[in-house]
Amino acid sequence: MSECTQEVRDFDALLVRLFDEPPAFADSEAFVASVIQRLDRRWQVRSLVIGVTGLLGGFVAVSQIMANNLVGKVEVLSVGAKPHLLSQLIQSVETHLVLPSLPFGGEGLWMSAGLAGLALVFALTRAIEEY
Amino acid sequence: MTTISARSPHQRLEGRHDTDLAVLAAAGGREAFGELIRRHGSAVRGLLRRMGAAPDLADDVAQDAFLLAFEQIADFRGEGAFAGWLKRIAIRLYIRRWKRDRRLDLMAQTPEPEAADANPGDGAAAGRMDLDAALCHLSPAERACVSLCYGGGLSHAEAAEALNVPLGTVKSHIKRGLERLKDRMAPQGGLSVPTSSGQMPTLGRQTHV
Repeated sequence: MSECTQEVRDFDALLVRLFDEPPAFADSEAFVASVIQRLDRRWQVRSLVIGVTGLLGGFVAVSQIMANNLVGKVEVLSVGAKPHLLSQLIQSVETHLVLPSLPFGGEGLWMSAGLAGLALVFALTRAIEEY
Repeated sequence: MTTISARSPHQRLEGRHDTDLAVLAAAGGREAFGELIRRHGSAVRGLLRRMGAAPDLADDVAQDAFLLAFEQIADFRGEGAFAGWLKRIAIRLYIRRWKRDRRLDLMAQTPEPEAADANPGDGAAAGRMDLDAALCHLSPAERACVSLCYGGGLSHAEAAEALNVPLGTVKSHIKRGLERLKDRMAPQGGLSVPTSSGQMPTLGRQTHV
């Protein structure tokens, strides 16, 4: 009886050992490359989706802000504040930058600059993660 | 003059433990994850083939398993072996695919004619020790259950849950599968298992049937 149990255990041990030995595949490196390629492709698609979504979101946000004249409203609210920082900044930009061909005012310029800054930060973060 | 060491990622990472590589991979390190694929790719592919998957399907599922593992690698806390965690992901994906293709009906599985006609006396001892060849003589259900428990490290209860069949069914498939494997693999006059340490490997929460 104990011999039989021992034999079962021995066979179990043999099976575990054999299952632990992975078969050798001639195309192991190709398999690794294939998985990494799929990972890269997935990441590229994801980056593209994030970028496009961010761009669309930024566009919508800017258009909404401009349509509601938010900057103008903030200016009105802060009329009592000293100094009128925002208006001074906008005035300064308008004074020093001559952009008569642009279809929007100073607030649009600032929003664009802000979005560009965010995009730059995102790109830098990705670059740091990658390298 | 400065000499720049041009070691490949594999050379730089080959000494690192799986858990360290998993931590690096969780931080976005794809080179570290590449090293994990290099280490465990064959084991996962081999397990899936031993479970009965065709080579193309096994490779496809193995790739999906690695991609999913990369997505979920933050969930790996290093409490068990990375290989075990990875194998469970692969097993889950394979069984899902199997069920989707309606090929998994363990209750209706019957041994294949080839297995019924098996002649354990054929072949040399070395041939009989070939696990992969011996597994081919098991029914799909027996093969899956034996591979899940012995190759995937699942307990009988976990295998039953994974396959969505009663525990007793898994136990009987394993019992029959082991008997057939033994007939195929054991040399004439009994089984001799070379042991290096004299210690019996454990099978997790597995119980003998």
